Amino acid sequence: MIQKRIDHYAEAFLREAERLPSGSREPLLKGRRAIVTGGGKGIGKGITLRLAAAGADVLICGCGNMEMAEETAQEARSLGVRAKAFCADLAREDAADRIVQEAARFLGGVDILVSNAAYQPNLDLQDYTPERFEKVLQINLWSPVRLVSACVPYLRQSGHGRIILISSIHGKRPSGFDIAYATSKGGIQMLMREAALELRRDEITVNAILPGGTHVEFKSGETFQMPHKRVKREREYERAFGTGSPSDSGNLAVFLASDMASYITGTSIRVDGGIVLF
Amino acid sequence: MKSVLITDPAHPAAEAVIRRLEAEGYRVFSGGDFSSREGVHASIARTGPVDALIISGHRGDVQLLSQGDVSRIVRAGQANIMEAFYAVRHYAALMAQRGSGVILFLSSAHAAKPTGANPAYAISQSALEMFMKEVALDYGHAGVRANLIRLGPMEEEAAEFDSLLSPADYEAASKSPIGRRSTAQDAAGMAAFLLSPEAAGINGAALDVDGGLYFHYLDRDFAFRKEEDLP
Repeated sequence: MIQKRIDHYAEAFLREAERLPSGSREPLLKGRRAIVTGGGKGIGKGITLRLAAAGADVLICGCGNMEMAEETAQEARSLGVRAKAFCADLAREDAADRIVQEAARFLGGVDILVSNAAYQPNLDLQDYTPERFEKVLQINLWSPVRLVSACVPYLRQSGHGRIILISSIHGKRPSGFDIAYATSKGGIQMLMREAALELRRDEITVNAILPGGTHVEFKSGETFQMPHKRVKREREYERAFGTGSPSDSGNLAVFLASDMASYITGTSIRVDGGIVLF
Repeated sequence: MKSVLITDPAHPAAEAVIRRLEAEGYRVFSGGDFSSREGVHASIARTGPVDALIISGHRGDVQLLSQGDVSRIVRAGQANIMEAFYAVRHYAALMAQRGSGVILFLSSAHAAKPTGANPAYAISQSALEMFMKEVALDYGHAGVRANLIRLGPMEEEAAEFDSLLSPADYEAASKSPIGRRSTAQDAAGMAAFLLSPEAAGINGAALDVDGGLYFHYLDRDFAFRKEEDLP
């Protein structure tokens, strides 16, 4: 189901690319080199496959489920691009440098950084140990800081440098789902602004995508179920506004990574079907 | 007598808040180690439950994301956030048991406005704003309110936000609609109000105390600082 939808978007996008003002028939991102953390599953997979469908080569960074990362890499390669799954634990301080070094080796540089990987234990404040809270911050906030820092030299050389940070609607409004996750996403909002301000002179754009509820299918065919006391309320919201697919964020990522978005920087865009209006 | 704990008394705004609250009759505790379980347990042993907790963590690191040692940015930002985690987690639980309490984050306009000079500070303050909102959502039903003050550039402040990238804080007094920078007294007045019963309906708010500076900081003197620079 999801794959059919991704294929549908990919075909539509390629048809659209044929109508570019330049008259170019090449995919929007042909030859661009992208890193996607957490790119093997969920929203990250949607972004990976949309970037690949638009012609970008992709280094997919995973940790917990490398089998899915490998499968996503295979799907991306079937779209005619170079793609590789790379194992890196973003809870470790050296992960960002390892990822960027691998991108330099495998891709020959970096044009697009998509920082997507996140950890969300869904705990209340009193249920969080300091160690668990620090781990959420390390993966969701400080590893993107390190990745941005490590990628800058390559993005400067690119001439089309793009940083896309995957935040969340929980980075704008409290939800009661996970205080550490929301805290980390609040920090991502400012990382995006600081980086956009700092890197503007290098013609590197920095933006954030804020997904809302996203329908994710796992290998087992199960969909994601939020194990939390507020799940009922969330489901009511979803019935009212629907649920997005990973390719919804992927489509926006392709646009932000393209030359069409070269004047867009320092902003965050919700991909939530208007759920925060509820 | 009501009691209040302010985590870091060293900041000029924190000093003014302490003086103001002491003048209003609060018993004020200040300082402590909020970097570990042992530290916050020692603080609670010293203070007991308090009526109000003021988070005042202002560590920063003057270096850009693309320059220097990024680990310093991470350490400074992490320290600000984890200090709030330890203090709020333990003191909010005590407040909830009593059915009342106020938590206030003495923060900065740079929780919403990038600095172009001190990303460690801005990133951590932005993160703490979301932390505050989650606390407000979760503990409001227990009688515990949480709010945050975004204080603008201060007269008393050091030059840690001087930036070659952003004109935001440059000549702030002349650019501000009220014709001056923010002061520590501005922060003290807002803090006293938010701790008072008159603010009982204010929860989860991030309040700008910057004179309206950031509404239009670009449209005045920068970047043409002198008459001869004008085109």
